[in-house]
Amino acid sequence: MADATLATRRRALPSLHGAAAMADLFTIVCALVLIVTAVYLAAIEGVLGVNINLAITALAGVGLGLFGLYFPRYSRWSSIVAAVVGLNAILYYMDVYSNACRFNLEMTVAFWVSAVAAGGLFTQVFFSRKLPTLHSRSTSKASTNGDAAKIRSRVATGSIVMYTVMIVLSFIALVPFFWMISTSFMTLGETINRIWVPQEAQVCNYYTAWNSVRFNVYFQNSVIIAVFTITGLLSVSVLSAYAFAKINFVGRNLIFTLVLATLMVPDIVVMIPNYLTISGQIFPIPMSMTNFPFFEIGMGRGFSWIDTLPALSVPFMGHAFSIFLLRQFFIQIPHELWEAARIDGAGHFRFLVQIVVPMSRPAILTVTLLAFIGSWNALLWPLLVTRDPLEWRPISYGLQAFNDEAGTQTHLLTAAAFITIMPMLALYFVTQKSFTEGIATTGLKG
Amino acid sequence: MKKLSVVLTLVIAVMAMAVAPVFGQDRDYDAIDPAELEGQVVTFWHQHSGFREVQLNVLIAVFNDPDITGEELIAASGYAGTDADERERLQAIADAVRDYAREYNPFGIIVNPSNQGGYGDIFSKMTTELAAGGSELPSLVVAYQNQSATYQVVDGLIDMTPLVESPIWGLAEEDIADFFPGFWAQDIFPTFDNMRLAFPPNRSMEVMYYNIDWLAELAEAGAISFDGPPTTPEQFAEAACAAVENPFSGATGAESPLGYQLSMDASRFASWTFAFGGDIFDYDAVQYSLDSDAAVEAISFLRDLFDQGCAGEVFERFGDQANFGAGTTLFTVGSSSGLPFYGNAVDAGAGHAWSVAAIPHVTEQPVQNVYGASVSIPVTDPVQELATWLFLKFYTDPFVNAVWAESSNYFPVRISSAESMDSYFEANPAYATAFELLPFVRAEPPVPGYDPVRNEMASVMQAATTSSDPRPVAEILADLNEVANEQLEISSAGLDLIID
Repeated sequence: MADATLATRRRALPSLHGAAAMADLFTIVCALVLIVTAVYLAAIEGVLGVNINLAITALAGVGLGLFGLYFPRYSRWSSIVAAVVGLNAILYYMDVYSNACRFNLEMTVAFWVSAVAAGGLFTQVFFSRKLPTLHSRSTSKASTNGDAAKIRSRVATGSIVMYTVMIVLSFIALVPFFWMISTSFMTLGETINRIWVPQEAQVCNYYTAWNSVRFNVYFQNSVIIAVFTITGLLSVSVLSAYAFAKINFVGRNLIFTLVLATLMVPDIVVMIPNYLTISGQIFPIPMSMTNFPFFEIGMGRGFSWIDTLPALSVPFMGHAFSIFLLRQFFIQIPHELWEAARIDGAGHFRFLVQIVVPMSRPAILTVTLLAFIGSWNALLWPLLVTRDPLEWRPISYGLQAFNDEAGTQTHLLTAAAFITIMPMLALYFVTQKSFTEGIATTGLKG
Repeated sequence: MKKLSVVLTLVIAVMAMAVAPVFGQDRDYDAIDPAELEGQVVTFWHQHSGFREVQLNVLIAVFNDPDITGEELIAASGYAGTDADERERLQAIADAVRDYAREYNPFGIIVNPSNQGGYGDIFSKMTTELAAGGSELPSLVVAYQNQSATYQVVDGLIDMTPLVESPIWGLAEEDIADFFPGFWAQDIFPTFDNMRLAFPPNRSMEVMYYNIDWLAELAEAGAISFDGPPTTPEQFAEAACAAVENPFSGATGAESPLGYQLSMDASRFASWTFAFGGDIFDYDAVQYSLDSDAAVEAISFLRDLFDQGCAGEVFERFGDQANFGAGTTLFTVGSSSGLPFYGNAVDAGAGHAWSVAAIPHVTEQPVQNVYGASVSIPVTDPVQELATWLFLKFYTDPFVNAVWAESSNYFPVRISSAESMDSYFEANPAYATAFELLPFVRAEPPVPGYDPVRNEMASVMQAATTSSDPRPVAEILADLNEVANEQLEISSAGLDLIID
């Protein structure tokens, strides 16, 4: 049986390489298209600056595709880097739309071709590079059974009903999203007349939205805040969850219950205590100083985290739900693995790092995604702990610029909203499978 | 936001006794040496965004440095675009107020403006900061009257009366007389021993927007018995119901025609109550009067319009603006600060002629609900408070205030500002019409804890007008009034509310 499985896997290996190779070839093709369009656009007045970026992006894309082809083991990593390069090009395109608003037809076509190629560079990261599923043989055997046809028929009917329901529900869920995207390409008049599809796509809306409220600054702030928050949150949550799941100590269940109890406290209630804490009024906090010593610890005025990165990230690093979710996952890891690790001389930390964490990738990615969404969407707290509009304000702050007290610029607001949610969508697509798995295996579903 | 308001109000009230001593006031501004004002930095928290923020930044940049110009000015304005016309316009605004800046700020005071989110966000920040002891308070903050009242529960604001009346730093009698009386009085808080807790830099007003062309079509078809905009509730109802049967010929929207679209909001509640000759607060009894005869009549009137299908609810934010622009809604009631947005909506929509008028009323003269946030000075230190006041004097100078009004589409607070706004009135006839209504204003109550009451008013208004609560209007409003007065009691805990 084991031999048969091994043989099956050996036969499947070429197709594994084939899938990765196809993705890498796609990367190279996209990059080559970028090179061609970059050369073409370079001949056209006014877009030379863009082409330096395009050329670098394109060359990097070719290089990464070739690297993936020659080193299939690292194909996934080269594809991720290529996606980042592609994303850079896409962001650059958004910037260049100040000129695109005045592009002629030829330039527009060339521009769109290269934009699609850059999009290809980005999306190739979602292509499958994995082993195809190998259960076709067992199904063919089942087909020899007399009742199989009836079973299949019932399954088929059930599937049709289920898929129909899912399609309807998906449609309902997607309509607002479609409306947002569609509106972001409309004129103000089209939004007022509530049409569904714009007559002519106003891509300039994205440029206007991006530039009119310094989205680049807010975007950068949000990325840094999210990275810091997630790093801290994962460190705290993984260690805590491991302790609650795998270490027996006095009062473990009581402490875990207390941690869970914090879930019942509304965020708004802890807002003022948190504010007092980060403003150094409850206990001494470390404060970065410009002169030696570099860090001082103190309380009160002068020792405040207002307008600093720690104020925006530290309060969210201890998160009961994340600890709970990871603990639920960790607790399912068989105890025999711990015993085996002990025999090999591993301690708790090594067992955690080398066994538990790699096995818990879905749960960790789920926590990462949820933390990212929370950090990315935060508005009230960042507003509370920042004074300077440009210092550490997040991207959600930029959105409100399009919402006046007496009116709104819906077309710009939706364009800005789409820019805002793009990173979340990208992260979700990347972690989609693990996210679903994480939810399904931690007892959180339904 | 509703929960937030309740929680924050409660927190402020509960912490009042503990924190109040921090904010004791004992000021003698006349004794301050002008040399102390040099280099004072005034932080100004406001809610202005977009074009208003840019233009406010220009005024402040010139106040800080009257000689600022070119790229330095554009950078200070925060304008990120490349439109040459817009840059020129900003430069022209700066040039217009340079001399005033030199006159008001020979001290080198630096004002540092910063957007801190919307009104609700600023309220959250202020209440949190006050509850935390007030070490990070701004020098100047935008606040509605009820928000100022909430801050004052912990003595968080200064009484500006000594500054206004100061023989050295204050305003002359003729200057005080130049403020619209309604605006001037609005920031004097009877609930706090007639302290001046805020100062008005601009105002907006609830007005009725109407489609001139559609009304003309209705009159021509004999569907209504009057010309021009309706002035009484009966005429309003007549036109609203006629509009449903006689769609506007130039409509571009696909929505069904509607006479009036009501956005459920406490200010609409107040506006209609004022128009029916009442008020929502009894200043003698220091109690809400949300179940007064006028309020019951107003809400019943609106319920009738809904029952007849002549009025409808606004379901999306500013949806009434969009429908008005598309020619499918005949009337809306909203803030005068929305004038440019209505203009955009009509230009991009049906392109019909439109204007604003007083809300149809049963009183002899219109009674217009005026609102708009004022600015308050939190307790910091006397020199900084004085520096802040000197900026306020510049901000509300008749000419500077006129420039600000033209930039922001708010109303100026000085009567004489109109003298320099002729060309603006000519270019914006709807604004000019609304400006004529400024003598007939009344305000919503400046009492602590009004924010959660507003939320309650909006939801009850929705239930009553749409008949989702089928009880008689008087009964519904009586319950509302009880809840509002309970909230007033909670929010005013520890205060002796005084009414003269």
